[in-house]
Amino acid sequence: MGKPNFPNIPLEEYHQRINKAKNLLKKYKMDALVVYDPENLRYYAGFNKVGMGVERRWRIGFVIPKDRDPVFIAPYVMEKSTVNQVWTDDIRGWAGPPHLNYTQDHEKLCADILKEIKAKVVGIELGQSMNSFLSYIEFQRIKKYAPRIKFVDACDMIWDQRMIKSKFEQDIIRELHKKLNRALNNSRKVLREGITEKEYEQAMYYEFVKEGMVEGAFISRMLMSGPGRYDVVIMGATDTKLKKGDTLWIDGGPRYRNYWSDIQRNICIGKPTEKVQRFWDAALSGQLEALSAVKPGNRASDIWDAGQTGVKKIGDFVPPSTRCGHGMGLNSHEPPIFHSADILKRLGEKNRELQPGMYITVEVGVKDPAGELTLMWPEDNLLVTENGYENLSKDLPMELWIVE
Amino acid sequence: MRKPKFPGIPFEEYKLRTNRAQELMGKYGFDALLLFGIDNIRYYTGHIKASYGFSRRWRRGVVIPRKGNPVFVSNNITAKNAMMTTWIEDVRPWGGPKQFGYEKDHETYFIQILKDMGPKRIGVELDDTIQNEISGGEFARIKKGLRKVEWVDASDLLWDQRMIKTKYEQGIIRDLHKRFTRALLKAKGQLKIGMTEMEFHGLIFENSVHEGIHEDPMAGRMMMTGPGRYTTYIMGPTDTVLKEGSTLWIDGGPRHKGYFMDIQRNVCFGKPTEKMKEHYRVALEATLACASAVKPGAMSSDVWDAGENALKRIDPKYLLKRPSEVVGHGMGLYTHEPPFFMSKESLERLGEADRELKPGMYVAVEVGIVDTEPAEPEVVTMWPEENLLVTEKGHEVLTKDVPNDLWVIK
Repeated sequence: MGKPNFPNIPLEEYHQRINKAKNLLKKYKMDALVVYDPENLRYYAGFNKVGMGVERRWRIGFVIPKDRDPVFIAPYVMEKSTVNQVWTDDIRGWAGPPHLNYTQDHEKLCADILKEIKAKVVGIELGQSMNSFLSYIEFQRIKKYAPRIKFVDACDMIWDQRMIKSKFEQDIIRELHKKLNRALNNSRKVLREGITEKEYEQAMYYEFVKEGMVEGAFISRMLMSGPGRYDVVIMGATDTKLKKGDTLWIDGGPRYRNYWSDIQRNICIGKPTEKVQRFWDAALSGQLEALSAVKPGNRASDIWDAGQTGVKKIGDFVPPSTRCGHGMGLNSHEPPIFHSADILKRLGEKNRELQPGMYITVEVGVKDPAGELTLMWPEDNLLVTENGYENLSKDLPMELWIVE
Repeated sequence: MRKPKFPGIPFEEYKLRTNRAQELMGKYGFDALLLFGIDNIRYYTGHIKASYGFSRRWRRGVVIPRKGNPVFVSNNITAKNAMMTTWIEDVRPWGGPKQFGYEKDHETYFIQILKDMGPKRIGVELDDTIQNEISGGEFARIKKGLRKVEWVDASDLLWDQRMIKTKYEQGIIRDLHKRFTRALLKAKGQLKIGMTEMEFHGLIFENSVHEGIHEDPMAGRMMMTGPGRYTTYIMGPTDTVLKEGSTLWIDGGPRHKGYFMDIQRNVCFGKPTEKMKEHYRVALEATLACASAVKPGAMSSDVWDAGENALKRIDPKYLLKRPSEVVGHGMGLYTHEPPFFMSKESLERLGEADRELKPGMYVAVEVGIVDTEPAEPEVVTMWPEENLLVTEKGHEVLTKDVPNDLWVIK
C-alpha cells in the first residue's frame, strides 16, 4: 500500500470507494473500470489534478479491476505528484526521455494493463454526462491495442456510486456551505446603488479567499443576470452599474476541496415595485413547496410538480427553465436532474428516486416575459437525509435582498 | 447586423479571425469547420462559456463555412447569452420544452446546416491537443447524418491561426502581465518565514482579485513544490509550514479575459546555501539562454538546444539534472499550446512539429535543475520561467518586472 505524504482522501475512504466500485463492477457485469475524467480520478484515486492540461501529454488514467488492486497511469512528469497523493501502490509512468524506459504511449500501457488482468468487458466514460478528457483518437488507439476487449459505457455505474455522498464527503460539503454563507452574507454589505456587477463579484471573491476557498474559486464566474439582460442566463458579471429600480440574480458558488456549491439569490436596488414583489412571492412559494417534496422515496419529477403547484398558488407564471434542481458533488451538475416526467422521458434521463446521502439543489423560478425585472429564482443546496433533508443554505436569508 | 450588447471581442477582431479562418480553409482544403472546443468557440465568436457544464445538455458549437457567415448552435439555456456576446447573426437554440419549437437534438441542426452548405471536407477537432467537449456518441450521430462527407482533423489549421496572437490579443496579454506582476510582487512582500504554502497561495489569489483578475483567477491552483516533496511537480500548495532553510517553487498564473500566463519563480526562506545559489544560477543562465534564442526564424528545437548548450558550457553534469524534456511552450486561451520547445529527437518521438518561431507568438521558456544528490533532495528544483512575445526582431519579456533572482525571505 502506498504511503502518500499528502493524501486527499483518508485510507478508509479510499478502501470504501474502491470496494464499492468492485461490487458495482460485478453488478454491471464488467471486469474493470478505466477512468480519465479528473473528477473520477479525484473520487476513486484521491488524485487532485491541479493544472489545466487537457492534451494528450498530460493524460492520466486509473484502472480498477474487479478482483485486483487498482493501477494508476501517470505521465512521467506527474509521477511524484501521484505518489504524494494516492494510496495506490501500482503507479505506472509513461512517456519521458528514453533512459526512463517508459512506454511512450499511455494507450498501449492501458491496453497492456487490461490484458494483464484478463479483462473482457471494460467500462469507460463513454456517456454524455462525463468529460473523460480522452480524445477520440486516443480511445481508438486503446481499442486498437486491445482488439478483443469490449468497451462499454460506465457512466451509470459511476453515477450509481457518486450520487450518494459518504460521510467524509458530506462533512466537506457542510464546511463548504458554512464558509459560503459567511462569504455571501459579508459581501452582500457592499451592495449599494451605483456599484457595478463586477465590483460586487470582486467583493464576493475577496470573501471566498478570506474563507480559504482558494483552490480555484470558480472554474467559471459567479453568474449574474442584471439590467439589460434580464432573461439571459449562464453569463458572468458585466460593468453594468446598478441603479435604483434594478434587479439582479446571482447564481453559482465556489468549490471547496473540489466539491461544488450552486446557490441563487435575488437582489433589488431600492424598494421593490409591486410587480417585483409579486414575482418574488411566486418564486418563493414554488421554492418552498418544492423543498417540502424533498425526501427519500420521492422522485425527481415530484420535485418539479411540487414547485409548479407552489407557483400556481400565487398565479400563472412562466418558468425560466424546464428544470428545478439537480445533484452536485465533484461536478456542479450531476444526477438526479429535476424535470417533469415528460421532459425527463424526452431527454432520455432517468426519473430517479431520492436517497439519503444525495447532495442536491432546488431552484424554482419565474420569468417576466416583458423583461422588466430579472428572473426571480432562488436556489438552495441540500443533503437528503433519512427522513427529509438538511438545508445547507438556511443561513443565507431566503428573501428578496433589498438594497436601500 | 445585430449588435451584441456585451460583445466578447470587437467586431473588427471577429471579422479578422473569421476571414483568416476562411483563408486557411483554402490552404488546408476544408469546406467548413465544425468546432465544439470552448477555447475555439471563444476564439472565433467571443462567446465565453461561463459555467462548468460539459454534458450534452450544455452543448454548443460553431460552423464556419469557407464562404459565408458562421452559424452558432447553442443549447437553449445559453442561446441568449450567445446573442448578447457574439456578432453571429444566425444563432440557433436547440432543446428546451416543446412550446419553444426548437430542434430537440443539436445533432439534427448541425446535420441540416452542413447539408445546406454542401461541404465535402469538414475540419473537426479530432486531435489529442485540443479538448473538444463533444462526446463520441454525439459526434457519431452527426457523422451518420452526413455520410458523404470526409471528416478531417483541423488542429493544424487551428494552431496555425491561434499560435499567432493578434494585436488585440497581445494587448490583453500585456495587461494580464502588468496586473499579475503587481499581485505577485505584493504577495512576495507579504511572505514570511513560518507561513504555510496555502497561506502564500491565498495571498497571491487575494491580490489577483484586487487587480481585477477574477474572471477566474486561476482555473487551477498556483502550483507549488515545497519541503517534503522537492521534486514533485504539478501539485498545488499544502499546509506545509515554510520554515527557515526551506525552498519553494511556484508555477502557474491566472487567466485574464481568457488568456493564460505561466510564470515560475523560486523562494528561499533564510540564508541560501551554496547549493541553492548554484542550482538557481545554472537554471537561470540556461533559461535566459533559451530566451535569447527566441526570435523569428528560430525553430522550437533551437530553443531547447540553446538551453542544452548553456548547461554543457557551465558543466555537462547538469544535463542529467533536468526535470523535463520540455523547456518551454506556447500559450494563449490555453495554458500549453504549440510551439513546444524540445529536442529534435523528443519532438520526433512525440510526433510534435519542429515549428518556426514567428512574430506574434506568445511563449514561455523554463529550464530547471533538480537536486539529484543525495537521494532525498535537500533543495527544491530550481526552475525559473519567463513569458515572452515574439516580435519582428526578437522578443519582448512580459515577466521582466518580476525579479528573476532567487527570492530570499529573511
